[in-house]
Amino acid sequence: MKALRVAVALGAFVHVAACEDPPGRAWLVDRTRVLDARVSAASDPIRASIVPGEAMRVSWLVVAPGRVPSMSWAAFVCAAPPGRAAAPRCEGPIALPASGTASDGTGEIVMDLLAPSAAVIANAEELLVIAAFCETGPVTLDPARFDATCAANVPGPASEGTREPLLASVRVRLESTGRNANPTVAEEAVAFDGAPIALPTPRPAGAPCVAGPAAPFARAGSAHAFGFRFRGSEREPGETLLLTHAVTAGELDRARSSLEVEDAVPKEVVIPWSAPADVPEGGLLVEAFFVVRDGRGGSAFARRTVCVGR
Amino acid sequence: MTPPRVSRFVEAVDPRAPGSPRASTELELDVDREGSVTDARVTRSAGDALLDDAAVAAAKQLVFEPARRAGVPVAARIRFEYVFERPAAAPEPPPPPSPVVEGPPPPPPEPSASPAPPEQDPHAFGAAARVDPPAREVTKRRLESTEMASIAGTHGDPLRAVELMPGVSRPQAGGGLPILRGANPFDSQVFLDGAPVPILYHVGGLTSFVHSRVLDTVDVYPSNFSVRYGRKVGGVIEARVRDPKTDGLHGVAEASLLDVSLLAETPIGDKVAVLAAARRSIIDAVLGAAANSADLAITAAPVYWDYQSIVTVKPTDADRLRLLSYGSSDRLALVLSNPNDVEPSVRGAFDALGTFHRVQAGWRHRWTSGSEQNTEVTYGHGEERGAFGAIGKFAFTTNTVQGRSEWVGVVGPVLRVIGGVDTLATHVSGSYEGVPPDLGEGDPGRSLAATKRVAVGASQWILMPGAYFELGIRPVPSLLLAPGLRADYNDFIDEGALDPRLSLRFDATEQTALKAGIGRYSQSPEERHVIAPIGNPDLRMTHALHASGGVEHKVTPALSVSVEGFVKKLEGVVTGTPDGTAPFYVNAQEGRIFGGELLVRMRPEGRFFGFLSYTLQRSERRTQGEAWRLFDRDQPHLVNATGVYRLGRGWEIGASLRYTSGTPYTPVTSATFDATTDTYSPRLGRAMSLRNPAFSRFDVRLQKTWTFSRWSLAMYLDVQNVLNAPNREGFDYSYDYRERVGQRGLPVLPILGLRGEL
Repeated sequence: MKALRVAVALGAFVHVAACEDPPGRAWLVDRTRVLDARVSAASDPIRASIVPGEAMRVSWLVVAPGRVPSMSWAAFVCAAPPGRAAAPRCEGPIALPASGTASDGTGEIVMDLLAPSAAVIANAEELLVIAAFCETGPVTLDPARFDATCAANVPGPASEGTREPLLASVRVRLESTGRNANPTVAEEAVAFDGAPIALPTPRPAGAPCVAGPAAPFARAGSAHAFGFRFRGSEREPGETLLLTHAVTAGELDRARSSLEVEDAVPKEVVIPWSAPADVPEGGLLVEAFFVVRDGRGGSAFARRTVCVGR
Repeated sequence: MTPPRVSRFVEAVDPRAPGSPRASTELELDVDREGSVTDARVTRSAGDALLDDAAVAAAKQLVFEPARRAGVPVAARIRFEYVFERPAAAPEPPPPPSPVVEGPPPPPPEPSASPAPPEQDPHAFGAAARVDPPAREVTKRRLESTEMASIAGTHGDPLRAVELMPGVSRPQAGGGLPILRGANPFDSQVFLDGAPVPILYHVGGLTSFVHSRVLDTVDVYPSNFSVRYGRKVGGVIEARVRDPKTDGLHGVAEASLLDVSLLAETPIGDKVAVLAAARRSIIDAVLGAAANSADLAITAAPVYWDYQSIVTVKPTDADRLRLLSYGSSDRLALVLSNPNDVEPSVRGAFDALGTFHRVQAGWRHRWTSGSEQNTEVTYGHGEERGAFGAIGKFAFTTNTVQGRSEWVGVVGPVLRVIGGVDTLATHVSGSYEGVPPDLGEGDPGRSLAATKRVAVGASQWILMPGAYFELGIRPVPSLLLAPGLRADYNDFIDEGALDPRLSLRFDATEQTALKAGIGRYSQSPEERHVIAPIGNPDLRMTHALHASGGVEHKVTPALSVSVEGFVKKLEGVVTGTPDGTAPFYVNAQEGRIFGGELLVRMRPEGRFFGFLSYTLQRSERRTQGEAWRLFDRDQPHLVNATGVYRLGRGWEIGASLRYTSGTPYTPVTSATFDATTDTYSPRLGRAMSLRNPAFSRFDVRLQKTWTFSRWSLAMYLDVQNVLNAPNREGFDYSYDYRERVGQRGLPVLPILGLRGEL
């Protein structure tokens, strides 16, 4: 908050009108949303750059404050539209569309796609994958407008799911513009109050919990800190890594951290977190997500849990 | 019989100390058929030979529209009174006297054109109205030093007062050039004594780059400016510095919560006078170390400084040599230790530095016939460096040489000829790397992280020669026709322009004048939009047609009312290509602006001055094949009122009220997530289809001056936005554009200052 006060003071001096808290909290998973899309060659999961005509996998991370609902999805792969600030859309030659449903509740939706051929790609510098996700039923995606509609054929009242589609895109680097590898997140990379958190067992956020190595205990309303350790080996020379962090409950200090080119490694990033004050008697499982991006189309994500009790 | 009328006034220098009592010298002048003063004699002494001599010397340089009998110019003998006033409480430059004009011999005399003021109120503003020749432009609004220093809400800043004039829309928060009659601010130019200046305001827009006490006048030409000015299609603001005082040592020291400044001036012998002023911000001291935190470190708080120096040499009564130098610098640096939650490109070190220096040498010669030659050569040097985290960085050095030489020839009572050359040569060297340059108008919201970076380096000269010619024709005494032609060339785009312009003024009565004008204007595209590989080398000039007309009426010598209408049409305006595809920028936009203005103005006389204005206007843009839409700074209603009153005993109170329509904006309808950059791309509704709430601001200023025998001390409190109106300037959106809150404008801002004057 001190930074905010400073910003306000500075803003007053320079007439920059930004004196109120911006709405929305990017670090809080308070609605179903897409957090990441990891692109990899089917033949080499580390490689993030793709060859025309090659099979590739796009792993989407969809998160929600509780169990991620069953999602229908549709996607298209195309040559990215030209221009410095082109809005994401698929015009002209479009590769094979794809669609499916994911219902395991983890929010990790995997799409196995085929990159367009060199003839279709022509002079494009990169590919674009556009996707739409619907909670309520099959999705219809208009690739030229990058717009979608969700059918409402799920049983029960419409209020059980939103009919508003989630629209997301990811650009795919072509091998011809330089090879790129996805960063990796080591198992011990994420810590809670200085101690590494073990990989969690799949359980939905918001559920009752019992504290353990995969869900360290936090008293309701208490102050803690997540830690993320950049080893340095997860990045390629010249890369800046952007770390996005979000939680399903509590208050995180910020949504992003970074490992700049000039930063020394290893680098410990500390993200203060306040546990939620109101938790049910059986405890509250809070999920924390960490996404690392290299800015060149490579990414990796990790998820950990904390058990908040009275 | 029509008496002579002053067409060019020359101030008489009051050699006395501030606080001297009011005095006047009455002269008898012989004015020949061409309007020149052939002889001047003292008919009533001021009681001081120095004052009488000053009056005679100045009167011999006056130029008149000659007396006429049946429309034929005739010689005349008139009575003329110079009034000298040196009020101690407001030691501005010596006030111009009021001429009292009689008819030619033999009697009876003609009635006074401007009677001498009544017995002076010791607390009144000490200036009678300045007598200027009829403007060459249809609309010329002048602010004088007395007004500029006192208007509430400007904390004495002269150029801030411009924003209260009719037809001047409110720029965005944080400063920026004023918007003149609906034009893009980048289409207007500010000049300081004929030379274009690169900035108007210091960082944040709180104050302009020149000390208020150095300026003599600021003229605003919101459209239909004369051929003297070119290379712009919007409007012109020209600030003019005054000559140093010649009656002894003077100084001004001032301190406020924003800055501290010092000004000193003195004559050196009979023919030389010098002035020097400097100012530096103290915001960094106010913010101090308390501003730094773990997340944000202000490594260099906003720091600005500026200076001005003037040396005048008057080797003869007809010649003035002047060396003017001025400069300005702004710096702000901070470090954001973590990426912004909404826009990850906003992170790291932000450091911006802008510095410029100008040196101008000028020579003016006046012939007794009224003709005048004015030549100025200005050299400028500028450094601009900026690093904006992951958004971009640049470093540019500019060197400019600007030459202007203008000859005003009074051929006879019916013809005046003006010819001039106006050449600007600029050498630019440097580099830029980052997001593409924006357009400065109508830019859609975009994710910086998702915008492809560009890079460019440059080192080249850009030559822009210009020349102009104008006639001032009076086929009958009451009608002035001013046809003109301006030629410009830009070697960077290898294109020239010929712009004809015409203005006319008809004095229907002594108090009422009708005026109208029409003209063509041309403007080269900005270099950043032209230079390869980030711009389009095939861009051409933008052209505009300005037309305006109106009527002005003097209710009293100090109180006037004017009503004016205007139209501007623009073609070939530079706009960006959809999605930023090559060639990136094209001349594909049109503009149309139309409206009307009402101004009621009370010039400083007695204890009060002020003005009230209302502007109704509309500014629209259209890109080829699309429908007309609002210009993004369109403000249909502008209401301004300001007044300053001297209460007596050194107290002065002022208030300003400003109400303007809100600016249009393009709504965000939804957004899509870009997983590559972890940002959301907004989807926009119909361009400029919604409007922010109206803006209102009420400012007050209170000043108390203590006058001593040799100096005075003034303390003032200038409070902007007294009512703390929220004044939404736009929106802050949530990371996914689902929620938004209004950006609050400037809150109540009190500025306390102390000023001592010698």
